[in-house]
Amino acid sequence: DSKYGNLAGPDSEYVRLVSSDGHEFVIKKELAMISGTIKAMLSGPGQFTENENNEVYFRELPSHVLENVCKYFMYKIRYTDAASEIPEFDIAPEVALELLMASNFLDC
Amino acid sequence: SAMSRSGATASSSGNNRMRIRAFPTAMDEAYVDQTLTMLQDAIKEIQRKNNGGLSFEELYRNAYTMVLHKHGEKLYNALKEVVREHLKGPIRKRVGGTMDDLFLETLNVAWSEHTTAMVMIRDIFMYMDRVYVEQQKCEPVYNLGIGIFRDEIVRQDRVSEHLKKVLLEMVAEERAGVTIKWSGIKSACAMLVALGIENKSVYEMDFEGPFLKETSEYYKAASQKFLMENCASVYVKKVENCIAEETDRAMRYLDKDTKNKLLQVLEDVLVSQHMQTVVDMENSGLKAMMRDDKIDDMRSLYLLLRRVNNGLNVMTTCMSEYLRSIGEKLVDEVEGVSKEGETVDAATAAARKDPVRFIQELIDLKDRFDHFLKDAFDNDASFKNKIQSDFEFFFNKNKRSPEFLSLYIDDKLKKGQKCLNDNEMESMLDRSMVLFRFLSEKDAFEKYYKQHVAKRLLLDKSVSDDAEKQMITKLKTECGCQFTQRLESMFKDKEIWGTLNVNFKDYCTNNPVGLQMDVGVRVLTAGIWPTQSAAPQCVLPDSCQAAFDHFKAYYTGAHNGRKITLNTLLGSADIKAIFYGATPNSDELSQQESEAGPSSRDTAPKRKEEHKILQVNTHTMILLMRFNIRPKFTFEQLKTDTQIPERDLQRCLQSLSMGKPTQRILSRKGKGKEIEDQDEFTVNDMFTSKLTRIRIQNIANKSETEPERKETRNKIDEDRKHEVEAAIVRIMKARKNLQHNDLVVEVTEQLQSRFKPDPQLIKMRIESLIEREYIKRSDDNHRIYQYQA
Repeated sequence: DSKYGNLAGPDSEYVRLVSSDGHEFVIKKELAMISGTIKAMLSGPGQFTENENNEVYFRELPSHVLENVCKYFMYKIRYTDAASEIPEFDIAPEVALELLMASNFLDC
Repeated sequence: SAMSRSGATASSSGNNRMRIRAFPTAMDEAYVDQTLTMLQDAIKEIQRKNNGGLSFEELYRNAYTMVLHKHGEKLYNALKEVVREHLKGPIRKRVGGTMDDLFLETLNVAWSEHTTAMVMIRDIFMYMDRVYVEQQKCEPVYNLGIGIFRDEIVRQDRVSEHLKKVLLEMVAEERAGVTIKWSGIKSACAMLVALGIENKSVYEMDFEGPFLKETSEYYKAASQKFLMENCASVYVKKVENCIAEETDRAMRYLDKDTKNKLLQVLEDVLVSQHMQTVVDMENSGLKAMMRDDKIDDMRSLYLLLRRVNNGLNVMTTCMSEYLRSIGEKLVDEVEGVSKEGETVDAATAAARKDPVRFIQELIDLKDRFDHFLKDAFDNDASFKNKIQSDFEFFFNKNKRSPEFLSLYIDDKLKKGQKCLNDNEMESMLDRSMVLFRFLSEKDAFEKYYKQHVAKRLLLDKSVSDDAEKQMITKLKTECGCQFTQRLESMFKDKEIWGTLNVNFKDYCTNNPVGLQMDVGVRVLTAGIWPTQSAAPQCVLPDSCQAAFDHFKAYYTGAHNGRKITLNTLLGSADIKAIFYGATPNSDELSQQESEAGPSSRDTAPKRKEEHKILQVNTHTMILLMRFNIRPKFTFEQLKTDTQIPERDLQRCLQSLSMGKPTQRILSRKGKGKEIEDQDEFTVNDMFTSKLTRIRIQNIANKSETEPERKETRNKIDEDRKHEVEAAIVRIMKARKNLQHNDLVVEVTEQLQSRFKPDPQLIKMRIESLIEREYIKRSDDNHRIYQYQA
C-alpha cells in the first residue's frame, strides 16, 4: 500500500523484526534505529542479509520480549524532549529479566 | 529456563550503565572454539568482500555471548589474530609487490578496503568494545585494526619510504607543470593522518615534514633565480603566484593543518629572506616605485610584506630614508639656510628658493605621501606615524620654518594673487594647518603670523576677511583662545576704522582749519598690534603734521582719557608730482610740488611737463617732500632732516633711484653699490611714464633680514622666559613640593604644544623665581622645591 511506504529497498520506511518464535513485527525504521545494534545492522557499510532484505531475525528473542521492545521504541520516540509529563513505562514483572537482557543485547 | 534463575544480578557502574554478569552456566571449551572459528571465518569473508550472505545478527549475537561468558580476552585475541594474518599475508604481498606506477593506487585501495572491513567488524563486535575493551582499557576494535595495518603494511618493506618518494615526486611534477592524479595523494594523506589514531604524528613524520623540507629547498633555489632575473615588482608578482598555487595545492589534497605550515615556509623562504633585497633593489625597489608613482606595485609589495614579521618595518625604514632625503634637500635649498662656514655666492643665493615655494613644495610632498598612504599602504598606522615623524624632523630642521609657513599663508591671503575660490581656499588653509602641527616652535609661528596679519590689515592687502577669519578659527581650534585673542582684537580695531574716518570728516566740516590734504588715520590699540621695538619719530612735513594734530584733537576729544601717537611705518600717501623735463641750462635743478602752487620757473621745457600721482609709503612721502625745499640732498642730510631710520631710508631711496626705470623718480650720484652718506639725490625731471598713477614698490624683503630676525628671536626668547616662569609657578602652586627633575618634566609637558623648553632655561628660571621668593629650596633636601605663598 503506497500510503504506508514500502518494505523493500534501502530507502524503505519500514523494517521487519522477527522473533524467535516467528512473530513478525513491522515497524518504522526510524523507531528500530533507536537500538544501536539494529542501527549498525541496517545502516553500516557492509552488505549483510539484514540490510539486503530489510528484515532481522532475532533467534534468541521471544515474541513477548520483542513486543515490549517495540513498545519501548514508541515510548521513547513519543516522550523524548516532550513538554508534557512523562508516564512510566510499565513492565510486567515476569518479563522484566528477559527484557533487561534484550536491552543489553540491543543496546537501547 | 532462564526465567527461574535468580543468580543474575545487576550492578550499576558509575554512569548508569548496567553491567550484566553472566549466568553461572559455563560454556564448554569446544563450543567456545567453535564460535571463535566461526567468527574468524566470517571476518575473513568480510575482508574478502564476500559478506553478502552473512547474518549480522548471528555474528553479533555470538560475539555478545562470548563476552557475556567471560571469554572476552579470547575473543579479542582471536580477532587480532585474524586481522593480522590477513594483512600480513595477501595484503602485504599485494602492496609490497607493486613498487611501480600502480603502487600508490594499490596502497590506497588496500587501505580503503581495510577501513571498510574494519567498520563492519567493529559493528559486529560492538558489544565487546562497549564492555570488554572498556573494562580492560585496551585498544578499541577499529583502532586495533588501524594499528595492525600500520605495523604490518606501512612499516614493512620500506613501504612508507617508497610512499614518501612517490608522493614527493608527484608534487614536484605538478610544480613543474605536469598534470597529476592528485586524488591519489589526497587518499594517501588521509590514510597517514588516520594511522596516527589520536594525533597526526604518522602523517607529519612520513610525509608532511619531508614535504615542507623539500618545498623549502625548492623555493630557496627558485627565489634566487627569480631575484636575479627580475625586477622588484615582477618578483612580488611571482611570489604572489607561488603562494596562490601552493595554497590551492594544500586545499586540494593535503591535510587541512598543512596549509598554514606550508604558508609559513613560503613566507619565510620567499619573503622574509629576501625582503630587504627586494625593497632596496636598484631602479625597481621601493624608492624607485615611490619616485615613479607606481601605486599598484607599492600596494602589492605592502600586502606581501605585511604577511611576515618585520616586513613592514623594512618598508617604513626605506620609505623614511627616501622621504627624509627629499625633505632635507628642500630644507637646504630654501634661502636663509647656510651651513656652518659656508660662503654663498650671488648665483647660488639667487638660485635658492623663496619661502613660499618652499612651503608649497612641502605641502605637495605631504600630499604625495598621503596619496601613497591611502592608495598603497592601506592607511597603515606604522606608515602614517613614520611619515609624520619624518616631516616633523626635517621641517623643524630649518629654524625659520615658522616664519616661512606664515609667509606662505600671507602670500595666499594677500590681494593680487591668483583668486582662489572658497573650496580652494579652505583646502589651502587646511594643508597649512597640517604643516603647522609639525612645528615644534609654534610660539614663533604665532609671532610671525601676527606680524603678517597686521601688515595685511594695515596695508589693506587682505584678499578676503572671511578667509582671514577662517584661518583664525582653525588656529583657535588647534591651539585654544589664547593664541587667537590678539588676532581677533586686531580685527575689531580694523572694523572701527571706517566709522572713525567718516566721523572725522564730519568733524573737519564742522571745524575747518584749512588743511592742505586729506588724511585718513587708522587707530590701533597699543599692545595688541605687533610693533617694531620703538616706532620711529620721523619729522613730518608741516602740512602733514597739521593734519595729524587736527585728527588728534578730534580723537582725544571724542574719547576722553586716550592718548594717540603717530606710527609712520605702515602708512601710505598719494602725492602729486610734476616732472618738467630737462632744461638746456639747468639740468640739475628741478622742482616738484605738492598740491597747490604752480612752478615759479619760467624756462621753456624741452618736453611737455608731466603730471603724475605717486602712490608711496609714508617714509617715501616724507623724503620726497624735502625736495620742495631744495633741489639736491645728500643721504646724510636726508637722514638728519627726516629722522627716518637708516635702513628704511636706504630702501626707499633705492627703490626710487636704483630700481626699475618705471619708477626712477630720483637721480643718484654715488659710487658704491650701497647708498652712502655722501651720495647726492635730485629729482629726475626726465621721468616719464604712460601711466598717470604710479605705484612705487619698495624693494621689499619678503622675509626678514638678519637684524630683524635677531630682534624677533629675542622677543620670542623673552616671551618664553615668561611662559616658563608662569608654568613653574602654576605647577608649584598645585603641587606644593616637587623634586627638581619632576618639575622639569612637568614644565616640559605643559609647554609642549608651544615649544620645547631647554632644561637649562628652566633651571635658570627656577633660580630667578627663588631669588624673587616665589619658591624656595627645601631645608632637608636641596633638590626639592617648595611653593611660597
